[in-house]
Amino acid sequence: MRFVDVIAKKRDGHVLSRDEIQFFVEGVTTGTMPEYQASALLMAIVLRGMNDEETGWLTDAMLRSGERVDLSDIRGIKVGKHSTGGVGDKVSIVLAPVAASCGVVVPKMSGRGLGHTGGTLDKLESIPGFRVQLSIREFKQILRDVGTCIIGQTADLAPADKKLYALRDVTGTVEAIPLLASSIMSKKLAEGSNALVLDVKTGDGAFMKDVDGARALADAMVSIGTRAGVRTEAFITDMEAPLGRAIGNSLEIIECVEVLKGKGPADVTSVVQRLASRMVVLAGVERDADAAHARVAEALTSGRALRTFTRMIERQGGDPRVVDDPSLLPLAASTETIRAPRTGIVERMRAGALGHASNALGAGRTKVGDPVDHGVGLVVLVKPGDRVDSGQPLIELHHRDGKGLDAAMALCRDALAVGDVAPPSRPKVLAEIR
Amino acid sequence: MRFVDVIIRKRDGHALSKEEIDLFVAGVTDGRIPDYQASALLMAIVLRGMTNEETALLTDAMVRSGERVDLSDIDGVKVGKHSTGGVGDKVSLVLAPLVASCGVAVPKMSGRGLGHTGGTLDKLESIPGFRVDLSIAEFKRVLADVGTSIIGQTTKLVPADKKLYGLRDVTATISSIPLISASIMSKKLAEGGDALVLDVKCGDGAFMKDEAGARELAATMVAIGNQAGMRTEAFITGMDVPLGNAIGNALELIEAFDTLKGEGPGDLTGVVLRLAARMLMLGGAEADPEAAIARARAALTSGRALETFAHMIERQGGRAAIVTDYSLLPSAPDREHCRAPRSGFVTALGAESIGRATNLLGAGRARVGDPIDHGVGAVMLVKAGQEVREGDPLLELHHRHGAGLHAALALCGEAVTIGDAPPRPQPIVRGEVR
Repeated sequence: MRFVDVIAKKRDGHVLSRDEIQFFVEGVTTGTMPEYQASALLMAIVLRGMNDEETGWLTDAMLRSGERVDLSDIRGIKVGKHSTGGVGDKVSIVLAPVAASCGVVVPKMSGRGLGHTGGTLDKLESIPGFRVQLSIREFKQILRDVGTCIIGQTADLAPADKKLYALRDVTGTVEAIPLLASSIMSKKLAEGSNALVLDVKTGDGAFMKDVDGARALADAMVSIGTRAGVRTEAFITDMEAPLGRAIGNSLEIIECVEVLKGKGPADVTSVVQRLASRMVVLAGVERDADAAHARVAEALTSGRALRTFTRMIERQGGDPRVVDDPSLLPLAASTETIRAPRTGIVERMRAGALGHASNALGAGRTKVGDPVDHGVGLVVLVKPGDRVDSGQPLIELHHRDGKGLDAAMALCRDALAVGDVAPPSRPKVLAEIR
Repeated sequence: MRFVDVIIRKRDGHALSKEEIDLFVAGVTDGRIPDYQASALLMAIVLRGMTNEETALLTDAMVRSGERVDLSDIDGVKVGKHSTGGVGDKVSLVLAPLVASCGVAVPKMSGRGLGHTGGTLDKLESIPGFRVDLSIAEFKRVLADVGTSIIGQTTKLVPADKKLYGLRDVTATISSIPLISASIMSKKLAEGGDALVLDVKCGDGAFMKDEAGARELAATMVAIGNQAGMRTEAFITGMDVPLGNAIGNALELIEAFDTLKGEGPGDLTGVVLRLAARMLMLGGAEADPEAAIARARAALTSGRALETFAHMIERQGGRAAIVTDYSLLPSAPDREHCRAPRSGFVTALGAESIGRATNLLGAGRARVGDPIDHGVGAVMLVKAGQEVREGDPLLELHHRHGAGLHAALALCGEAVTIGDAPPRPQPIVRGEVR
């Protein structure tokens, strides 16, 4: 088999065989396929597409390029969760302890923030002492004892994805459903869960700007997971406006604790409840959707979920007192407020621009490896559709001595529109795919 | 400008700007753009296409990547000729001296054979002592004195094409009309002619299998040439069967000599006269097509064209006597016939298979740099449409001690189809683009 013939086949719109896809992934992993051939094939895949079967084979080949975490010695159905990323998306940090406190085992490997979206690991690292680089053995021990553990992905999982992603990033071949879906799913399958709930974000602050694209991505991932024997379901949730009120690492941890105490913003709480209920059903803890919902609600009001979170923090080296004393979290002292330019209705609150604003303050990174400031960020005080008076505070910026403040304020003003027309109300959960 | 954004623009189907195309070509030439980015863009071009304007910009940028031959100190209109390549295509060998003998200067830079098609340089090198590696100064002196000179392309012309072609060859990005057009036309423009006649082959033995593709390629190249100020015309000629009777280096040279003596095969002579007439008109030697054909024909019958060829051979290091004494040419010691498997009409003599068969005998090369045997080849004893009886010899293979003979005979057997009725005769010249 020659690589050039595989490229020509996809170029001409044909379906690749399992052997050809395996040959490609092995070639990329071992370096026998030069990068210039891999990138030509990637571009052909972007423009010619792949069917579900090909995407499944691609995922499987990437999965087999590395190790697979074996969680079979942990009792119960392990249910993973993955979000495609958004602004203010702190769902995982709340969801994992909520579901775990309901009896679901939730192993979670997360990523760091890049571009305008934040990352779960960066947020958790706001907690003094919190360690995300655990060994698989430590990870499994905490899973057994606490029910959940959130760590960084290890380099041994799906190394083919690492190589391919780096190449895709510089060759304009990121945006293709089969490539996105196989990249995410190869890592998720390598993590060793028995079931998986996906949160596919759509809107201004998400990778997928429109619902159709998000649905196609969700469908592709659900199909891959199901074919691989991992029960997979997806929620398509709105990311036109940021989720919750806080954007920025420490600020989001504070908000997570509020949600776990039953005092969080309604949108975050409702998304967490919806996803947690499905995880409870997938794990076989409850059969009935209403019962699952009731169990999840009870975990929040009883404080059980918060206790699980506290234990997880403690076991991962963090200071558990942060749940009662937010002042233990690094927080920038200086604040600035954006006020309503006129009386009217908040017509728009663009998540993408707000994510960039928070980044400008130092909360995120533009390149892999950049340092982040855990103390800066935004608190959005209103939601689209809210009625506001002229001069009323809309956004509070937490900045470090004015660093990036001008750019961030300009971006915030850009993100906002106060007018006379109420925007159509949009539910946070737009669709479910099972 | 980031190169990844250029890739993304083409991926999304937009037309690239002059600056973007210049960045691409300059970056490929000096190595600033890594191969993996160049190949991703090439694949996007193959699948998204390029407008005529983009193709012209690409051609121009490629011309500017290297030197350009200055022929302005040679009197008269210099008319170049280029063929997209076929099997038994010895047109240039006859045409260049013929047109030169009628008073129009024909500078010609040719290539070597690769794959199933032969190369003009290889055929000329059958002549003992013949040099194709003249300096530009020598080339111009021969051109000024004889009226024509045929040499190899120098590495200083269009270095971008050399790099791009190398990459396209291994990334399945050859088959794209804009890329093929820019590759050919950049070299032709750099060669410094004032006008150009293109012979775009179509059919089994050509790169373009169908007439529509050949027509599109011809139209694109004609548009590029004219836009760049070089009057360009194209002929679309058939290549389902080999042109003339001889395939193989010395064998084709002998057929070229025969044609220059007015004793060549009808199809070859016909194509040569059609192209010669256009070159005479573009060169300003004749204004009327009938008169141009008559003048070209007279140059064959008078022996003037052959004299010019002999003169050129002598000036490029060969012996002039070779045009009458074929024993000075290398020849293969052994003969074998491919015979008719049944009685009927010859309906197909597949040019590609016959070309590959002579390659197996040693006449061509599979990889750049392979040595070749100038003496071996094939002579077709029948033409398409001819009635034959079972066992009649169809092709005479000239081989060296059986090297490659078995496989060559099998390929010839595949190339020949005998039917019950003669095929519909097709004109060799399928169209003209001006």
